[in-house]
Amino acid sequence: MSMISSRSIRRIVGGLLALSFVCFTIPGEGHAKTHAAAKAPPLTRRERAEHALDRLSFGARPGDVERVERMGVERWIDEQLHPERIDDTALQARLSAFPAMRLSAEELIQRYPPPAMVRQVDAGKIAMPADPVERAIYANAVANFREHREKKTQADGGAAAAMHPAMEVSSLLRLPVDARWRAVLAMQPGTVRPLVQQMTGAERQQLVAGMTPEQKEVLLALVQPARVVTEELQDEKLMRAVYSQRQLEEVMTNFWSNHFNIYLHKNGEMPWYLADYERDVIRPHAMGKFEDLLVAVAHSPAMLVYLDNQQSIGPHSVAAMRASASGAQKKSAPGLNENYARELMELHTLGVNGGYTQQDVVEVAKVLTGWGTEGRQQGYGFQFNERRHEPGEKVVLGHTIGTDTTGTGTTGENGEAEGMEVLHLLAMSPATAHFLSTQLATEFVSDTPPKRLVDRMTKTYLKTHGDIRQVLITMFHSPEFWSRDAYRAKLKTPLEFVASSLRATDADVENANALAASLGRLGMPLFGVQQPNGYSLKADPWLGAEALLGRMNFALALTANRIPGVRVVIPEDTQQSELQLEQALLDGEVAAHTHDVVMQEMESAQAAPVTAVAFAKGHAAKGMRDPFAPAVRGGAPMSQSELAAALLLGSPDFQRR
Amino acid sequence: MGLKLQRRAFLKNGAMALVGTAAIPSFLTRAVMAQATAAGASRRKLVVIFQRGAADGLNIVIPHAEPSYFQMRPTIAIPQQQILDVDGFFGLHPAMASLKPLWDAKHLAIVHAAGSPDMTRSHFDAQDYMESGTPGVKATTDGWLNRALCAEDERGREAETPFRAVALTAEMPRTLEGKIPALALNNIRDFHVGGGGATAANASFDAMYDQSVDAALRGAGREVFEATKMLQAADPARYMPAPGAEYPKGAFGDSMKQIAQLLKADLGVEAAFADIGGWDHHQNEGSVDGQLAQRLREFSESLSAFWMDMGTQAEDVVVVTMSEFGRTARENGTRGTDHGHANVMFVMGGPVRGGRVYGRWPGLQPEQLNEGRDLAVTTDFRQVLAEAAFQQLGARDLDLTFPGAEMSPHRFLKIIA
Repeated sequence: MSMISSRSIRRIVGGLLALSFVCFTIPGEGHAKTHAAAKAPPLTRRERAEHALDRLSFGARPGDVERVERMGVERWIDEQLHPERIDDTALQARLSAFPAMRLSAEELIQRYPPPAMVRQVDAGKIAMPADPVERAIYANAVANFREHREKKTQADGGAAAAMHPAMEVSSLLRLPVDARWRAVLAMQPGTVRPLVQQMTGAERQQLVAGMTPEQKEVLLALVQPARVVTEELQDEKLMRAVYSQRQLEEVMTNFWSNHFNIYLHKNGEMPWYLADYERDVIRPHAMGKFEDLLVAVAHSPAMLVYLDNQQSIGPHSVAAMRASASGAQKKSAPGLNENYARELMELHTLGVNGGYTQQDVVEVAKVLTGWGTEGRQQGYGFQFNERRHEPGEKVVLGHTIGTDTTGTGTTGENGEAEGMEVLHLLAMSPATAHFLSTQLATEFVSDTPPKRLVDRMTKTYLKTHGDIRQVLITMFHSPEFWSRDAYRAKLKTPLEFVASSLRATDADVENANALAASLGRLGMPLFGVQQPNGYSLKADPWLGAEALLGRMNFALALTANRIPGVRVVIPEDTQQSELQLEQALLDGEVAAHTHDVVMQEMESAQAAPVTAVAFAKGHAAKGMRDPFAPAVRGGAPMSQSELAAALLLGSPDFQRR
Repeated sequence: MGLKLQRRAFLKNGAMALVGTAAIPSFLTRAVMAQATAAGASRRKLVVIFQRGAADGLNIVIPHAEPSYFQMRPTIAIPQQQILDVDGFFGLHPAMASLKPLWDAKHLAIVHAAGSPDMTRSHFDAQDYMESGTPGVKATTDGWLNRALCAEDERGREAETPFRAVALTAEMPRTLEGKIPALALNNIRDFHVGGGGATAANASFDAMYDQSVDAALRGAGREVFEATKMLQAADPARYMPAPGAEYPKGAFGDSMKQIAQLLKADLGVEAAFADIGGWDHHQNEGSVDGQLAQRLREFSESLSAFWMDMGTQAEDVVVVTMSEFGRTARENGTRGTDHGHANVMFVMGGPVRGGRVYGRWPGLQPEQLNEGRDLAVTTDFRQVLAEAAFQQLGARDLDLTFPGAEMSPHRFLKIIA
């Protein structure tokens, strides 16, 4: 569906004149196939640039459309398909605010201990670290853990006696920055958290003023290590969506991260498993070979824990035999867990009607027994545990797995290699090719992608052995992708809405914490889907009343600068500026009715100024709010242009891409 | 049925004063029509409560006549003399004292040893199964309560209101996901453009969406602004609970208060949902006092305040509670309990045949326990929910509501009249 404004009609006419310059070729496609599309006017050069930005990025920033049009949309797409050629140093500078996200999994666990490790330190099973900073983090975590446990043992009604922090707030805040940081580190373990909780927002700002990202991070860890990981994980994802120059890579990373969904709150350790998931598992393969991606996901502790494969034990494995021989009274009988095996086929590869049976699920589950993670002290990495692996022959989709690849004549005794064989089988399946092509076309073209397009993408997938980049190229060169039916036909998800609002307003995000909370309010908390399906790629789930109302309120809060940590500058009031805003925010793609309403509002707002309220204030999905995030001052009436910008960002027009 | 009746119903909810008499907006007329013309069944309402985290049913409704209860729970058992006996065999935890009068008045029923046929002990999976209403089936995309509304006998229904299904939660709960549009509201006081008060921006957004050429967004936008206008007319900011209804502090009490508010404002609510977390007591669960007692007190006082608040309107309302699974019959090494199986459900309301414990008691002897450790399930939780959906929502198509469960009225426990 498309909304054609008077200006876009002018542009279509202009585009028709310019058509002779458009040198976009459709490989292998006869003209007959584009016949149907020829009835609607083809996209103009300008619209093609807009369309490419709408689909291959998280939205255009001011000037992007001109830039893409100037360099040629094909060249821009080609550049986006090869992210390694794009300079992204500006993003890297912003990401330096998240030092924990630069650590390896082992380093992260060592420095910011997960709850299970804190319990082990408390129980004396793990020694305190030697590094003085880490020592302070651990000591506080253990003290907080003990305090929490004791509070639980107390009878109710006994509200925790107010802790008297060891230090006077005012004298602490007067110290120079390094001395201030060291003073907090040296505080009696267990007193940092109550101190921070008692401070006002302004005092907390003063406390962290001038500190390096590393110092701030340590301070937050003294309050609660989980916050460091959970917040930086979400904040970095948002920063990348908004600021990366490698936009298609981020769009694809988000696509696969959702395809291989993980739930942040599955258990207390999940944030640590997730910390390197997009960075090391998804992004490096986002436009590579699907099989490499699938293999990386299958080896990721995040997935093995999320879908319980970690718990799966072959009923005839050494581990199971040992357990039953010793007659150990287990909490529950060890056995196969089919969860990952099922979702691997249903959601990750073949698709729900992909031609597998329940027996295939059981067989794949057997193949994957032993795929798990190392113990906590080894650092949570992948580990194949032979002792849990189910012996014997397994037949998956009619193929006998592990058949005599070594020439030894044995079957079904190939350990981890059996799993690799199944992953290869699944990655190369025509059902997988078709399912993934459908998903990609749904993401990039329309909620109901044309079958002919999906078929061509499927063909490319099979011909290139699952080369994602080649499948994208087929799609980006298809008449269906460039058809007027596809133009502005996709509803933005909340993430796309938030990121595109920030890009359109050229916002400066100093702290993304409130934005992450806003996504919860808009119905799309990051890594917040419990079910393995991930978020829908289609419009329906995003049309709920609270979520849609939330978009309008987010728009008001954003342009009024009432989102903590985010700064936008909307140019000053003039009658002229409404058109400039339409141009800047939506490249002028605004319906006549929307334009009229905005103009009326600007006139009436002169008489009765509007004040916006903060959005998602005090709201954090599953309660993680950075105590050191900046607060917002507010209450000033919005300027006419701020109000106009809010109306445009909250308009039906801006919800499409 | 004439205009007179509509107007009377309309005046009754007090909305008139705020919207003026000159022109009754169509959304309000439609809402009132829905109220006034719907058949008897659809005037009834169902409130669904989820206790997330697996509440310890054996310390909530205590089988005190089972000697093994006290043996298996040496530090966390509720001493006999502190238990609020209900029928000589079972008794309520003392922190539930506020619900005892409802029991005595026969408006509170208990279903014990209820649960899922699926054996999972994962919170994640068990909540998912209970909310989807399809134990063991992960692929279900919608929730049982939404399907129950789909299965509702639609005769007599003339109009929809955006408040037909409401969750007082930040995000749409799985229970209410599905085809029927439902509202998830963290707080009804915030449900407004600009957060409160009639701002000019509100009217502009309303106009923008109302006339948009984008059909999907026009429809969704109209729903938003109908809902905000209806709420504004009901004036939630000035809501005063009925005398004697004292909601405890906390999120759950606040949710129950808002559900009462929405129900009393006659906005056309048929199904409402709220949840209360914090039941996963592996350590130091407590006995007469302690962690469980604290949660139970908040839970019970919220429900009893809701009952008081609803007054005579409670005659059409049924509240049903559930938790994903129960906990081990024996206490563990850290004075808590681990993940178990069967649990207790409460059914409360006007049409409830209360003052009785429903379901077959499976016993606590070692050989009677599920896998030698948990209370066994003797009532499928869907039997209780199916009856509630059937009686309160008129959900006649039980196969649609609970696919594969082979539910039918003869499997009901006959809790609701």
